[in-house]
Amino acid sequence: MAPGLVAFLAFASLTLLYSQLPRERYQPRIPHVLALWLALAVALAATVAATGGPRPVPRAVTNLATYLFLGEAFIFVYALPIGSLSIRLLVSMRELESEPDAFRRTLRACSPDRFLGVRLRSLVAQGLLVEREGRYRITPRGRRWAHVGVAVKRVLAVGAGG
Amino acid sequence: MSGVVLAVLCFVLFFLAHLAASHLLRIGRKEGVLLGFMAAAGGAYVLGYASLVERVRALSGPSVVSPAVDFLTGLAGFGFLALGYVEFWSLFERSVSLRILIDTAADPEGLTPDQMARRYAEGRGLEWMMDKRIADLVGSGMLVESTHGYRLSGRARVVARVFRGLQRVVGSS
Repeated sequence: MAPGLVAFLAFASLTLLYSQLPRERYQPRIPHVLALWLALAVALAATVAATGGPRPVPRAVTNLATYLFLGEAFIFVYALPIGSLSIRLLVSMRELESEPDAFRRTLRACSPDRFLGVRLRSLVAQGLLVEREGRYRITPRGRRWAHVGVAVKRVLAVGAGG
Repeated sequence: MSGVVLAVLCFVLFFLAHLAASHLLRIGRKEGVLLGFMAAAGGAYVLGYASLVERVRALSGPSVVSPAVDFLTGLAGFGFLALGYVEFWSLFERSVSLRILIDTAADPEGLTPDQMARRYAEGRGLEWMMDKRIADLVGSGMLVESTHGYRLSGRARVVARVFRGLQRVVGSS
């Protein structure tokens, strides 16, 4: 299990380091964090299998299970303060708590329009939408993701969503 | 590795059961039911480890680690699968970005932000999404009614403080 724990610590450290890097323009971070998580998983499995010893596959699986679970839990906690509207509402309400109308002021600060603006910026940055003269159109890549989204929603039997 | 094999078996069994229930039953609190299925799968792994692990070991071969480490590794493997499924499910159930993509893909002319806000989630609108989030926060005891709408509960205040700290750590304003 030790190599899996070491790999997780390396992943967490690199992610936090990456978070502190200055950014000149808006760039979604989660895809990069996911790529790092998976790259380190491959490196871990290869390293454990290559270091010799009996039964390399079970040893690689044992370490991967540890690393993947800890890494996934870390990403879950990491992504919440960045993307969750519910968390933003709670944090904003706490900061405005001394005001008598904290709830209404929070709704203004975290309005649906502002939230939509943030999401649109992220979708444009990922090449899923393009903006021209105030209209957003889907790119071929975005259309593929939309088709996948509709199909998976049907398989999972989830609602309209959002 | 037998712990991981058993964990995968438990997860697959309960994942298929959850999928079948989602299609066959009208479920009100979907998130709660999903978490219930995953908790039951975790319980099945813990109970099953003691009684079934020897049979699994006969299939997967002798363990390369001690029984305690094997059990914990299986638990980690199960946690990875269960948390992954919960996150994957939530992504397709709740993701605002995916909903925007689906709505925009449906219109060849593209959409303005105002049109997106109105058409969001098959015409429910962005206000509906906001109301849903607030209803969830009220339902989970984070917000309580007050004379000025809602105020934070004691638990929510702690959660907000923790996440404000995390926002600083991850560099999110």
